[in-house]
Amino acid sequence: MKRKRVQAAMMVAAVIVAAVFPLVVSNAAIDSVAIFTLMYVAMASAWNILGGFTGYVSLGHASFFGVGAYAFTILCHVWHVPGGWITFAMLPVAGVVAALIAIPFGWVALRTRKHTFVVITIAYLFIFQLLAYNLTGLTNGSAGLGSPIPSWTGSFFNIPFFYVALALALIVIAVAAWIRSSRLGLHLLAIRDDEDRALGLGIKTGRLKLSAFVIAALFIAMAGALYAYYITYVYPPFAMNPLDDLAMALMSFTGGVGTIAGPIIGALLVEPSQQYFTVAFQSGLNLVTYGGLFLVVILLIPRGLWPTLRDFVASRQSRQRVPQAPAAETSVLSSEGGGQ
Amino acid sequence: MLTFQNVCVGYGGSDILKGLSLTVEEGSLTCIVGPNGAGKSTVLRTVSGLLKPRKGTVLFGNTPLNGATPRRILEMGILQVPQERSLFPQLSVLENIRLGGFILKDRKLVDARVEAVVERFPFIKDRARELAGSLSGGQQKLVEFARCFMLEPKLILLDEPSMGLDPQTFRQVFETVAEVHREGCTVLMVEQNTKSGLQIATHGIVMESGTLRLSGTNVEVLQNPAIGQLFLGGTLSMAK
Repeated sequence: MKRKRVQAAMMVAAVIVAAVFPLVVSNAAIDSVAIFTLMYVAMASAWNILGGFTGYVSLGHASFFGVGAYAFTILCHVWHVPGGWITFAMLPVAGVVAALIAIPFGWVALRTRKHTFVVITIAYLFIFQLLAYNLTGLTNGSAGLGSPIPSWTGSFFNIPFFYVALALALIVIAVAAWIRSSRLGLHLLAIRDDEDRALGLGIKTGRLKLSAFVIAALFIAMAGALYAYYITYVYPPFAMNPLDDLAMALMSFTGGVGTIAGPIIGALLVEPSQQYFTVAFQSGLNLVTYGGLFLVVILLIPRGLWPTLRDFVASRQSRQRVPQAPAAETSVLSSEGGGQ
Repeated sequence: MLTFQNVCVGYGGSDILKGLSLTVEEGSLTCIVGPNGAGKSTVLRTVSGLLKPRKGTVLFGNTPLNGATPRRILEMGILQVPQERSLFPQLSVLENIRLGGFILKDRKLVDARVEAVVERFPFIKDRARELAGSLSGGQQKLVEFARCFMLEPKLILLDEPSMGLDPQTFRQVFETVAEVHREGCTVLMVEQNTKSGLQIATHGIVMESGTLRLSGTNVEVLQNPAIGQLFLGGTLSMAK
Protein backbone atom coordinates (compact mmCIF):
# COMPACT_ATOMS: atom_id res chain seq x y z
CA MET A 1 0.00 0.00 0.00
CA LYS A 2 2.87 2.32 0.92
CA ARG A 3 4.61 1.56 -2.37
CA LYS A 4 1.44 2.39 -4.30
CA ARG A 5 1.14 5.72 -2.47
CA VAL A 6 4.74 6.57 -3.28
CA GLN A 7 4.19 5.68 -6.94
CA ALA A 8 1.01 7.78 -7.09
CA ALA A 9 2.79 10.73 -5.48
CA MET A 10 5.67 10.41 -7.97
CA MET A 11 3.20 10.31 -10.84
CA VAL A 12 1.33 13.42 -9.63
CA ALA A 13 4.64 15.27 -9.17
CA ALA A 14 5.75 14.26 -12.70
CA VAL A 15 2.45 15.48 -14.19
CA ILE A 16 2.75 18.82 -12.36
CA VAL A 17 6.33 19.27 -13.57
CA ALA A 18 5.28 18.38 -17.11
CA ALA A 19 2.28 20.73 -16.98
CA VAL A 20 4.35 23.78 -16.00
CA PHE A 21 7.34 22.87 -18.19
CA PRO A 22 6.47 24.92 -21.32
CA LEU A 23 5.47 27.88 -19.12
CA VAL A 24 8.86 27.86 -17.42
CA VAL A 25 11.05 26.87 -20.37
CA SER A 26 10.42 29.21 -23.29
CA ASN A 27 13.18 27.90 -25.56
CA ALA A 28 11.45 26.62 -28.73
CA ALA A 29 14.12 23.99 -29.43
CA ILE A 30 13.84 22.52 -25.93
CA ASP A 31 10.04 22.60 -26.11
CA SER A 32 10.24 20.76 -29.40
CA VAL A 33 12.40 18.05 -27.83
CA ALA A 34 9.87 17.84 -25.00
CA ILE A 35 7.01 17.36 -27.48
CA PHE A 36 8.84 14.53 -29.23
CA THR A 37 9.71 13.01 -25.87
CA LEU A 38 6.05 13.00 -24.82
CA MET A 39 5.08 11.46 -28.16
CA TYR A 40 7.61 8.70 -27.53
CA VAL A 41 6.31 8.23 -23.98
CA ALA A 42 2.90 7.56 -25.55
CA MET A 43 4.32 5.34 -28.31
CA ALA A 44 6.60 3.30 -26.06
CA SER A 45 3.80 2.83 -23.50
CA ALA A 46 1.45 1.72 -26.29
CA TRP A 47 4.10 -0.61 -27.75
CA ASN A 48 4.60 -2.04 -24.27
CA ILE A 49 0.94 -3.16 -24.14
CA LEU A 50 1.80 -5.63 -26.89
CA GLY A 51 5.54 -6.18 -26.58
CA GLY A 52 5.78 -5.94 -22.82
CA PHE A 53 2.55 -7.53 -21.63
CA THR A 54 2.27 -10.37 -24.17
CA GLY A 55 5.97 -10.80 -24.98
CA TYR A 56 5.27 -10.39 -28.72
CA VAL A 57 8.06 -8.01 -29.78
CA SER A 58 6.78 -6.06 -32.76
CA LEU A 59 9.29 -4.25 -34.95
CA GLY A 60 6.55 -3.14 -37.31
CA HIS A 61 4.26 -0.92 -35.31
CA ALA A 62 5.95 2.16 -36.75
CA SER A 63 3.92 1.33 -39.86
CA PHE A 64 0.80 2.28 -37.88
CA PHE A 65 2.54 5.51 -36.87
CA GLY A 66 2.74 6.18 -40.63
CA VAL A 67 -0.82 5.02 -41.24
CA GLY A 68 -1.98 7.44 -38.53
CA ALA A 69 0.03 10.29 -40.07
CA TYR A 70 -1.33 9.62 -43.56
CA ALA A 71 -4.89 9.00 -42.37
CA PHE A 72 -4.82 12.32 -40.51
CA THR A 73 -3.45 14.26 -43.46
CA ILE A 74 -5.64 12.63 -46.11
CA LEU A 75 -8.83 12.95 -44.04
CA CYS A 76 -8.06 16.61 -43.29
CA HIS A 77 -7.75 17.18 -47.03
CA VAL A 78 -10.90 15.21 -47.89
CA TRP A 79 -13.02 16.82 -45.17
CA HIS A 80 -11.42 20.27 -45.62
CA VAL A 81 -10.37 20.47 -41.98
CA PRO A 82 -8.41 23.70 -41.51
CA GLY A 83 -5.46 24.09 -39.17
CA GLY A 84 -6.59 25.03 -35.68
CA TRP A 85 -7.75 23.55 -32.40
CA ILE A 86 -10.50 21.48 -34.01
CA THR A 87 -7.86 19.67 -36.03
CA PHE A 88 -6.73 17.85 -32.89
CA ALA A 89 -10.12 16.09 -32.95
CA MET A 90 -8.85 14.22 -36.02
CA LEU A 91 -6.24 12.39 -33.92
CA PRO A 92 -8.61 9.72 -32.58
CA VAL A 93 -10.16 9.37 -36.05
CA ALA A 94 -6.73 8.62 -37.51
CA GLY A 95 -6.14 6.21 -34.63
CA VAL A 96 -9.36 4.33 -35.36
CA VAL A 97 -8.51 4.08 -39.08
CA ALA A 98 -5.11 2.56 -38.18
CA ALA A 99 -6.71 0.24 -35.63
CA LEU A 100 -9.13 -1.09 -38.26
CA ILE A 101 -6.24 -1.68 -40.65
CA ALA A 102 -4.28 -3.35 -37.84
CA ILE A 103 -6.96 -6.01 -37.29
CA PRO A 104 -6.30 -8.18 -40.41
CA PHE A 105 -2.54 -7.56 -40.23
CA GLY A 106 -2.47 -8.51 -36.57
CA TRP A 107 -4.63 -11.56 -37.21
CA VAL A 108 -2.11 -12.84 -39.76
CA ALA A 109 1.06 -11.92 -37.81
CA LEU A 110 -0.22 -13.39 -34.55
CA ARG A 111 -0.58 -16.81 -36.10
CA THR A 112 3.18 -16.98 -35.60
CA ARG A 113 5.30 -16.69 -32.48
CA LYS A 114 8.65 -15.35 -31.28
CA HIS A 115 11.25 -14.73 -34.02
CA THR A 116 8.84 -15.41 -36.86
CA PHE A 117 6.48 -12.80 -35.46
CA VAL A 118 9.32 -10.27 -35.26
CA VAL A 119 10.30 -10.94 -38.88
CA ILE A 120 6.72 -10.63 -40.11
CA THR A 121 6.25 -7.31 -38.34
CA ILE A 122 9.49 -6.00 -39.88
CA ALA A 123 8.09 -7.05 -43.26
CA TYR A 124 4.90 -5.09 -42.50
CA LEU A 125 6.91 -1.91 -42.01
CA PHE A 126 8.49 -2.18 -45.42
CA ILE A 127 5.22 -3.23 -47.07
CA PHE A 128 3.54 -0.10 -45.69
CA GLN A 129 6.50 2.05 -46.66
CA LEU A 130 6.39 0.70 -50.23
CA LEU A 131 2.66 1.29 -50.36
CA ALA A 132 3.18 4.88 -49.22
CA TYR A 133 5.73 5.37 -52.01
CA ASN A 134 3.63 3.72 -54.70
CA LEU A 135 0.00 4.58 -53.95
CA THR A 136 0.64 8.02 -55.41
CA GLY A 137 -3.04 8.77 -55.93
CA LEU A 138 -3.55 8.54 -52.19
CA THR A 139 -0.21 9.46 -50.64
CA ASN A 140 1.39 11.59 -53.37
CA GLY A 141 4.33 9.16 -53.33
CA SER A 142 7.79 10.36 -52.38
CA ALA A 143 6.74 14.01 -52.69
CA GLY A 144 4.60 13.53 -49.59
CA LEU A 145 1.53 15.38 -48.40
CA GLY A 146 1.14 18.66 -46.58
CA SER A 147 -0.90 18.66 -43.38
CA PRO A 148 -3.08 21.56 -42.23
CA ILE A 149 -1.04 24.51 -41.00
CA PRO A 150 -1.85 25.46 -37.38
CA SER A 151 -3.52 28.85 -37.02
CA TRP A 152 -1.12 29.97 -34.28
CA THR A 153 2.52 31.00 -34.70
CA GLY A 154 5.51 32.44 -32.89
CA SER A 155 6.49 31.57 -29.35
CA PHE A 156 3.03 30.06 -28.72
CA PHE A 157 3.43 27.56 -31.58
CA ASN A 158 4.69 24.65 -29.46
CA ILE A 159 2.33 25.12 -26.51
CA PRO A 160 -0.84 23.43 -27.89
CA PHE A 161 1.20 20.54 -29.29
CA PHE A 162 2.96 20.10 -25.97
CA TYR A 163 -0.30 19.82 -24.02
CA VAL A 164 -1.94 17.52 -26.57
CA ALA A 165 1.16 15.30 -26.52
CA LEU A 166 1.05 15.33 -22.72
CA ALA A 167 -2.66 14.43 -22.74
CA LEU A 168 -2.03 11.60 -25.22
CA ALA A 169 0.84 10.27 -23.11
CA LEU A 170 -1.30 10.37 -19.95
CA ILE A 171 -4.19 8.62 -21.68
CA VAL A 172 -1.94 5.82 -22.96
CA ILE A 173 -0.31 5.43 -19.53
CA ALA A 174 -3.75 5.29 -17.89
CA VAL A 175 -4.98 2.69 -20.40
CA ALA A 176 -1.80 0.62 -19.94
CA ALA A 177 -2.16 0.80 -16.15
CA TRP A 178 -5.82 -0.17 -16.37
CA ILE A 179 -5.03 -3.12 -18.64
CA ARG A 180 -2.18 -4.21 -16.34
CA SER A 181 -4.50 -4.31 -13.33
CA SER A 182 -7.44 -5.88 -15.16
CA ARG A 183 -8.39 -9.44 -16.03
CA LEU A 184 -7.23 -8.72 -19.60
CA GLY A 185 -3.78 -7.72 -18.34
CA LEU A 186 -3.44 -10.82 -16.20
CA HIS A 187 -4.30 -12.98 -19.18
CA LEU A 188 -1.83 -11.09 -21.40
CA LEU A 189 0.90 -11.67 -18.83
CA ALA A 190 -0.02 -15.34 -18.68
CA ILE A 191 0.45 -15.47 -22.47
CA ARG A 192 3.87 -13.83 -22.10
CA ASP A 193 4.85 -16.32 -19.44
CA ASP A 194 3.73 -19.48 -21.20
CA GLU A 195 1.26 -19.27 -24.04
CA ASP A 196 0.63 -23.00 -24.25
CA ARG A 197 -0.05 -23.15 -20.53
CA ALA A 198 -2.45 -20.20 -20.87
CA LEU A 199 -4.20 -22.01 -23.72
CA GLY A 200 -4.39 -25.12 -21.58
CA LEU A 201 -6.00 -23.12 -18.82
CA GLY A 202 -8.72 -22.10 -21.27
CA ILE A 203 -7.63 -18.51 -21.95
CA LYS A 204 -8.64 -17.38 -25.43
CA THR A 205 -5.15 -16.25 -26.36
CA GLY A 206 -5.75 -15.35 -30.02
CA ARG A 207 -8.43 -12.77 -29.27
CA LEU A 208 -6.44 -11.22 -26.41
CA LYS A 209 -3.20 -10.94 -28.39
CA LEU A 210 -5.07 -9.30 -31.25
CA SER A 211 -6.65 -6.82 -28.81
CA ALA A 212 -3.19 -5.84 -27.55
CA PHE A 213 -1.90 -5.54 -31.14
CA VAL A 214 -4.78 -3.27 -32.15
CA ILE A 215 -4.73 -1.11 -28.99
CA ALA A 216 -0.99 -0.51 -29.51
CA ALA A 217 -1.62 0.39 -33.17
CA LEU A 218 -4.44 2.79 -32.21
CA PHE A 219 -2.32 4.90 -29.87
CA ILE A 220 0.85 4.77 -31.97
CA ALA A 221 -1.24 5.99 -34.92
CA MET A 222 -2.59 8.87 -32.83
CA ALA A 223 1.01 9.86 -32.09
CA GLY A 224 1.69 9.61 -35.84
CA ALA A 225 -1.22 11.95 -36.55
CA LEU A 226 0.06 14.43 -33.98
CA TYR A 227 3.50 14.21 -35.57
CA ALA A 228 2.05 14.94 -39.03
CA TYR A 229 0.20 17.98 -37.70
CA TYR A 230 3.24 19.28 -35.81
CA ILE A 231 5.69 18.80 -38.69
CA THR A 232 2.97 19.95 -41.18
CA TYR A 233 3.93 17.41 -43.80
CA VAL A 234 4.20 13.67 -44.12
CA TYR A 235 6.26 11.53 -46.47
CA PRO A 236 7.21 7.85 -46.51
CA PRO A 237 10.72 7.61 -45.00
CA PHE A 238 9.79 9.73 -41.98
CA ALA A 239 6.29 8.36 -41.50
CA MET A 240 7.36 4.71 -41.70
CA ASN A 241 10.78 4.86 -40.14
CA PRO A 242 12.45 1.63 -38.90
CA LEU A 243 14.23 3.73 -36.28
CA ASP A 244 10.88 4.45 -34.64
CA ASP A 245 10.36 0.73 -34.17
CA LEU A 246 13.79 0.38 -32.69
CA ALA A 247 13.19 3.42 -30.49
CA MET A 248 9.91 2.10 -29.03
CA ALA A 249 11.48 -1.27 -28.24
CA LEU A 250 14.68 0.29 -26.90
CA MET A 251 12.79 2.71 -24.65
CA SER A 252 10.64 -0.08 -23.22
CA PHE A 253 13.62 -2.37 -22.63
CA THR A 254 15.75 0.43 -21.16
CA GLY A 255 13.14 1.48 -18.62
CA GLY A 256 11.72 -1.98 -17.94
CA VAL A 257 9.66 -3.92 -20.45
CA GLY A 258 6.29 -5.09 -19.18
CA THR A 259 6.10 -2.41 -16.47
CA ILE A 260 4.10 0.83 -16.55
CA ALA A 261 6.96 3.08 -15.49
CA GLY A 262 9.56 1.43 -17.72
CA PRO A 263 8.59 2.87 -21.13
CA ILE A 264 8.11 6.33 -19.55
CA ILE A 265 11.60 6.27 -18.00
CA GLY A 266 13.04 4.84 -21.21
CA ALA A 267 11.48 7.53 -23.39
CA LEU A 268 12.53 10.31 -21.00
CA LEU A 269 16.13 9.07 -21.14
CA VAL A 270 16.50 7.94 -24.73
CA GLU A 271 14.63 10.54 -26.78
CA PRO A 272 16.34 13.71 -25.45
CA SER A 273 19.73 11.91 -25.67
CA GLN A 274 18.97 10.87 -29.23
CA GLN A 275 17.99 14.45 -30.16
CA TYR A 276 21.18 15.73 -28.53
CA PHE A 277 23.39 13.24 -30.39
CA THR A 278 21.67 14.07 -33.67
CA VAL A 279 22.44 17.77 -33.24
CA ALA A 280 25.88 17.28 -31.71
CA PHE A 281 27.33 14.77 -34.16
CA GLN A 282 25.19 15.03 -37.32
CA SER A 283 26.99 12.07 -38.83
CA GLY A 284 24.85 9.09 -38.00
CA LEU A 285 26.68 8.62 -34.70
CA ASN A 286 23.31 8.83 -33.00
CA LEU A 287 22.48 5.49 -34.64
CA VAL A 288 25.65 3.98 -33.20
CA THR A 289 24.60 5.17 -29.74
CA TYR A 290 21.21 3.49 -30.29
CA GLY A 291 22.89 0.18 -31.01
CA GLY A 292 25.39 0.62 -28.20
CA LEU A 293 22.69 1.45 -25.68
CA PHE A 294 20.64 -1.57 -26.76
CA LEU A 295 23.65 -3.83 -26.18
CA VAL A 296 24.38 -2.30 -22.78
CA VAL A 297 20.76 -2.74 -21.67
CA ILE A 298 20.47 -6.33 -22.88
CA LEU A 299 23.82 -7.36 -21.40
CA LEU A 300 23.85 -5.45 -18.11
CA ILE A 301 20.23 -4.74 -17.17
CA PRO A 302 18.12 -7.15 -19.23
CA ARG A 303 15.05 -6.42 -17.13
CA GLY A 304 15.48 -2.65 -17.53
CA LEU A 305 16.25 0.20 -15.15
CA TRP A 306 12.99 0.33 -13.22
CA PRO A 307 12.69 -3.35 -12.18
CA THR A 308 16.44 -3.52 -11.45
CA LEU A 309 16.26 -0.41 -9.26
CA ARG A 310 13.09 -1.66 -7.54
CA ASP A 311 14.69 -5.03 -6.75
CA PHE A 312 17.85 -3.33 -5.50
CA VAL A 313 15.85 -1.17 -3.07
CA ALA A 314 13.76 -4.16 -1.96
CA SER A 315 16.82 -6.31 -1.31
CA ARG A 316 18.48 -3.51 0.70
CA GLN A 317 15.33 -3.10 2.78
CA SER A 318 15.06 -6.83 3.43
CA ARG A 319 18.74 -6.93 4.48
CA GLN A 320 18.14 -4.13 6.96
CA ARG A 321 15.26 -5.98 8.58
CA VAL A 322 16.02 -7.94 11.72
CA PRO A 323 16.01 -11.65 10.85
CA GLN A 324 13.16 -13.54 12.50
CA ALA A 325 13.24 -17.10 13.77
CA PRO A 326 11.66 -19.50 11.26
CA ALA A 327 8.12 -20.54 12.09
CA ALA A 328 7.54 -24.12 13.16
CA GLU A 329 6.54 -26.48 10.37
CA THR A 330 2.78 -26.65 10.49
CA SER A 331 -0.11 -27.24 8.20
CA VAL A 332 -0.39 -24.85 5.27
CA LEU A 333 -4.13 -24.70 5.83
CA SER A 334 -5.77 -22.18 8.12
CA SER A 335 -6.54 -23.69 11.50
CA GLU A 336 -9.98 -22.11 11.28
CA GLY A 337 -10.68 -24.13 8.22
CA GLY A 338 -12.78 -22.05 5.91
CA GLY A 339 -14.45 -25.21 4.73
CA GLN A 340 -16.97 -25.83 2.03
CA MET B 1 -20.53 -38.89 -7.69
CA LEU B 2 -18.36 -40.00 -10.61
CA THR B 3 -19.02 -43.14 -12.60
CA PHE B 4 -17.15 -44.77 -15.47
CA GLN B 5 -19.29 -47.28 -17.35
CA ASN B 6 -17.32 -49.56 -19.68
CA VAL B 7 -15.16 -46.65 -20.91
CA CYS B 8 -12.65 -47.03 -23.74
CA VAL B 9 -10.22 -44.15 -24.28
CA GLY B 10 -6.96 -43.95 -26.17
CA TYR B 11 -4.43 -41.95 -28.08
CA GLY B 12 -4.03 -42.55 -31.80
CA GLY B 13 -5.12 -46.02 -32.79
CA SER B 14 -4.82 -47.90 -29.51
CA ASP B 15 -6.96 -47.88 -26.39
CA ILE B 16 -5.42 -47.08 -23.03
CA LEU B 17 -8.58 -47.59 -20.99
CA LYS B 18 -10.15 -50.87 -22.10
CA GLY B 19 -13.74 -50.96 -20.90
CA LEU B 20 -13.03 -49.40 -17.53
CA SER B 21 -15.84 -49.23 -14.98
CA LEU B 22 -15.39 -47.55 -11.62
CA THR B 23 -17.19 -45.38 -9.11
CA VAL B 24 -15.99 -42.48 -6.97
CA GLU B 25 -18.25 -41.80 -4.02
CA GLU B 26 -19.20 -38.28 -2.97
CA GLY B 27 -17.06 -37.00 -0.10
CA SER B 28 -14.42 -39.67 -0.61
CA LEU B 29 -10.70 -39.35 -1.14
CA THR B 30 -10.13 -42.01 -3.75
CA CYS B 31 -6.62 -42.99 -4.75
CA ILE B 32 -5.91 -44.74 -8.02
CA VAL B 33 -2.73 -46.79 -7.95
CA GLY B 34 -1.12 -49.13 -10.40
CA PRO B 35 2.02 -49.71 -12.42
CA ASN B 36 3.27 -47.40 -15.16
CA GLY B 37 1.08 -47.53 -18.25
CA ALA B 38 -1.98 -48.70 -16.30
CA GLY B 39 -3.97 -45.68 -17.54
CA LYS B 40 -4.24 -43.83 -14.21
CA SER B 41 -3.57 -40.36 -15.60
CA THR B 42 -5.75 -41.17 -18.61
CA VAL B 43 -8.70 -41.55 -16.21
CA LEU B 44 -8.14 -37.99 -14.97
CA ARG B 45 -7.67 -36.60 -18.48
CA THR B 46 -10.92 -38.25 -19.50
CA VAL B 47 -12.83 -36.74 -16.58
CA SER B 48 -11.47 -33.26 -17.25
CA GLY B 49 -12.49 -33.49 -20.91
CA LEU B 50 -9.00 -33.53 -22.42
CA LEU B 51 -9.69 -36.98 -23.85
CA LYS B 52 -13.00 -38.14 -25.30
CA PRO B 53 -14.26 -41.69 -24.63
CA ARG B 54 -14.55 -43.84 -27.76
CA LYS B 55 -16.98 -46.09 -25.99
CA GLY B 56 -18.85 -46.08 -22.71
CA THR B 57 -20.15 -43.29 -20.50
CA VAL B 58 -18.63 -41.02 -17.87
CA LEU B 59 -21.22 -39.64 -15.47
CA PHE B 60 -20.80 -36.81 -12.97
CA GLY B 61 -23.82 -37.31 -10.75
CA ASN B 62 -26.42 -37.92 -13.44
CA THR B 63 -24.78 -35.64 -16.02
CA PRO B 64 -22.84 -37.32 -18.82
CA LEU B 65 -19.39 -35.78 -19.38
CA ASN B 66 -18.76 -37.45 -22.74
CA GLY B 67 -19.48 -34.48 -25.00
CA ALA B 68 -18.58 -31.70 -22.56
CA THR B 69 -15.74 -29.30 -23.30
CA PRO B 70 -12.95 -28.85 -20.71
CA ARG B 71 -14.34 -25.39 -19.94
CA ARG B 72 -17.86 -26.75 -19.34
CA ILE B 73 -16.39 -29.41 -17.07
CA LEU B 74 -14.57 -26.68 -15.12
CA GLU B 75 -17.85 -24.81 -14.78
CA MET B 76 -19.38 -27.96 -13.33
CA GLY B 77 -16.80 -27.81 -10.52
CA ILE B 78 -14.34 -30.48 -11.65
CA LEU B 79 -10.78 -29.21 -11.39
CA GLN B 80 -7.53 -30.91 -12.20
CA VAL B 81 -4.09 -30.27 -10.76
CA PRO B 82 -1.85 -31.72 -13.47
CA GLN B 83 1.25 -33.80 -12.91
CA GLU B 84 3.56 -31.25 -14.53
CA ARG B 85 4.08 -27.71 -13.19
CA SER B 86 1.22 -25.51 -14.27
CA LEU B 87 1.99 -22.17 -12.59
CA PHE B 88 3.17 -19.14 -14.53
CA PRO B 89 6.67 -18.64 -13.14
CA GLN B 90 7.01 -14.94 -13.99
CA LEU B 91 3.68 -14.01 -12.40
CA SER B 92 3.28 -13.49 -8.68
CA VAL B 93 1.72 -16.14 -6.46
CA LEU B 94 -1.39 -14.00 -6.06
CA GLU B 95 -1.71 -13.46 -9.81
CA ASN B 96 -1.49 -17.20 -10.31
CA ILE B 97 -4.28 -17.66 -7.79
CA ARG B 98 -6.39 -15.05 -9.60
CA LEU B 99 -5.85 -16.90 -12.87
CA GLY B 100 -7.58 -19.88 -11.28
CA GLY B 101 -10.79 -17.86 -11.52
CA PHE B 102 -10.35 -16.99 -15.18
CA ILE B 103 -13.84 -18.14 -16.14
CA LEU B 104 -15.42 -15.80 -13.58
CA LYS B 105 -16.51 -12.50 -15.10
CA ASP B 106 -17.47 -10.69 -11.87
CA ARG B 107 -14.39 -8.94 -10.49
CA LYS B 108 -15.91 -8.63 -7.01
CA LEU B 109 -16.55 -12.36 -6.94
CA VAL B 110 -12.94 -13.01 -8.02
CA ASP B 111 -11.68 -10.71 -5.24
CA ALA B 112 -13.88 -12.48 -2.69
CA ARG B 113 -12.66 -15.91 -3.84
CA VAL B 114 -9.01 -14.78 -3.69
CA GLU B 115 -9.62 -13.59 -0.15
CA ALA B 116 -11.22 -16.92 0.75
CA VAL B 117 -8.31 -18.88 -0.76
CA VAL B 118 -5.76 -16.76 1.13
CA GLU B 119 -7.71 -17.32 4.33
CA ARG B 120 -7.79 -21.04 3.68
CA PHE B 121 -4.10 -21.26 2.73
CA PRO B 122 -2.39 -18.61 4.89
CA PHE B 123 1.07 -19.39 3.49
CA ILE B 124 -0.07 -17.69 0.27
CA LYS B 125 -0.38 -14.39 2.08
CA ASP B 126 3.29 -14.49 3.07
CA ARG B 127 4.42 -15.25 -0.46
CA ALA B 128 1.70 -13.34 -2.33
CA ARG B 129 3.99 -10.89 -4.14
CA GLU B 130 6.79 -13.33 -4.86
CA LEU B 131 7.21 -14.79 -8.32
CA ALA B 132 5.71 -18.26 -8.52
CA GLY B 133 8.90 -19.47 -10.21
CA SER B 134 10.88 -18.61 -7.08
CA LEU B 135 8.92 -21.09 -4.92
CA SER B 136 10.11 -24.62 -4.25
CA GLY B 137 8.50 -27.52 -6.10
CA GLY B 138 6.34 -28.40 -3.12
CA GLN B 139 5.20 -24.84 -2.57
CA GLN B 140 4.31 -24.59 -6.25
CA LYS B 141 2.26 -27.75 -5.94
CA LEU B 142 0.42 -26.27 -2.95
CA VAL B 143 -0.29 -23.05 -4.87
CA GLU B 144 -1.62 -25.12 -7.79
CA PHE B 145 -3.79 -26.98 -5.33
CA ALA B 146 -4.97 -23.75 -3.66
CA ARG B 147 -5.77 -22.28 -7.09
CA CYS B 148 -8.50 -24.91 -7.54
CA PHE B 149 -10.50 -23.25 -4.79
CA MET B 150 -11.06 -20.16 -6.94
CA LEU B 151 -13.84 -22.13 -8.62
CA GLU B 152 -15.30 -23.83 -5.53
CA PRO B 153 -14.54 -27.37 -6.68
CA LYS B 154 -16.94 -30.25 -6.25
CA LEU B 155 -14.35 -32.75 -7.39
CA ILE B 156 -10.58 -32.23 -7.39
CA LEU B 157 -8.43 -34.38 -9.65
CA LEU B 158 -4.84 -34.70 -8.45
CA ASP B 159 -2.31 -36.24 -10.77
CA GLU B 160 0.70 -37.60 -8.86
CA PRO B 161 0.94 -34.77 -6.31
CA SER B 162 4.05 -36.27 -4.71
CA MET B 163 6.10 -36.35 -7.89
CA GLY B 164 9.56 -34.79 -7.47
CA LEU B 165 9.02 -33.68 -3.86
CA ASP B 166 11.36 -34.18 -0.94
CA PRO B 167 9.95 -36.26 1.97
CA GLN B 168 9.09 -33.26 4.15
CA THR B 169 7.25 -31.36 1.39
CA PHE B 170 5.66 -34.62 0.30
CA ARG B 171 4.15 -35.01 3.79
CA GLN B 172 3.00 -31.39 3.79
CA VAL B 173 1.25 -31.80 0.43
CA PHE B 174 -0.43 -35.03 1.53
CA GLU B 175 -1.53 -33.49 4.84
CA THR B 176 -3.06 -30.60 2.92
CA VAL B 177 -4.91 -32.98 0.61
CA ALA B 178 -6.21 -34.95 3.60
CA GLU B 179 -7.33 -31.79 5.42
CA VAL B 180 -9.14 -30.45 2.38
CA HIS B 181 -10.89 -33.79 2.07
CA ARG B 182 -11.86 -33.73 5.76
CA GLU B 183 -13.46 -30.34 5.11
CA GLY B 184 -15.83 -32.06 2.70
CA CYS B 185 -14.19 -31.94 -0.71
CA THR B 186 -14.24 -35.01 -2.96
CA VAL B 187 -10.77 -35.85 -4.24
CA LEU B 188 -9.73 -38.30 -6.92
CA MET B 189 -5.99 -38.77 -6.81
CA VAL B 190 -3.59 -40.72 -8.95
CA GLU B 191 -0.48 -41.69 -7.04
CA GLN B 192 2.62 -43.66 -7.92
CA ASN B 193 3.54 -43.94 -4.25
CA THR B 194 1.06 -46.75 -3.53
CA LYS B 195 1.35 -47.01 0.24
CA SER B 196 1.33 -43.29 1.06
CA GLY B 197 -1.49 -42.63 -1.39
CA LEU B 198 -3.71 -45.37 0.00
CA GLN B 199 -2.95 -44.44 3.61
CA ILE B 200 -4.47 -40.96 3.31
CA ALA B 201 -7.31 -42.16 1.05
CA THR B 202 -10.71 -43.44 2.09
CA HIS B 203 -11.02 -45.60 -1.01
CA GLY B 204 -8.53 -47.27 -3.30
CA ILE B 205 -8.64 -48.37 -6.91
CA VAL B 206 -5.97 -50.57 -8.44
CA MET B 207 -5.62 -50.40 -12.21
CA GLU B 208 -3.59 -52.48 -14.57
CA SER B 209 -3.40 -52.33 -18.37
CA GLY B 210 -6.37 -49.99 -18.62
CA THR B 211 -8.72 -52.10 -16.55
CA LEU B 212 -9.88 -52.15 -12.94
CA ARG B 213 -8.18 -54.90 -10.95
CA LEU B 214 -9.23 -54.10 -7.42
CA SER B 215 -11.37 -51.53 -5.59
CA GLY B 216 -12.71 -50.95 -2.11
CA THR B 217 -11.94 -49.00 1.01
CA ASN B 218 -8.32 -48.09 1.52
CA VAL B 219 -7.99 -50.72 4.25
CA GLU B 220 -9.42 -53.45 2.00
CA VAL B 221 -7.03 -52.55 -0.78
CA LEU B 222 -4.04 -52.15 1.52
CA GLN B 223 -4.70 -55.53 3.17
CA ASN B 224 -5.06 -57.38 -0.09
CA PRO B 225 -2.11 -59.78 -0.25
CA ALA B 226 -1.48 -59.03 -3.92
CA ILE B 227 -0.97 -55.32 -3.28
CA GLY B 228 2.47 -55.96 -1.82
CA GLN B 229 3.74 -56.67 -5.30
CA LEU B 230 2.65 -53.15 -6.34
CA PHE B 231 4.72 -51.63 -3.51
CA LEU B 232 7.74 -53.19 -5.17
CA GLY B 233 6.82 -51.67 -8.51
CA GLY B 234 5.32 -54.83 -9.94
CA THR B 235 1.80 -55.71 -11.10
CA LEU B 236 -1.05 -57.64 -9.59
CA SER B 237 -0.72 -60.24 -12.35
CA MET B 238 2.80 -61.00 -11.18
CA ALA B 239 1.49 -61.74 -7.70
CA LYS B 240 -0.74 -64.56 -8.97
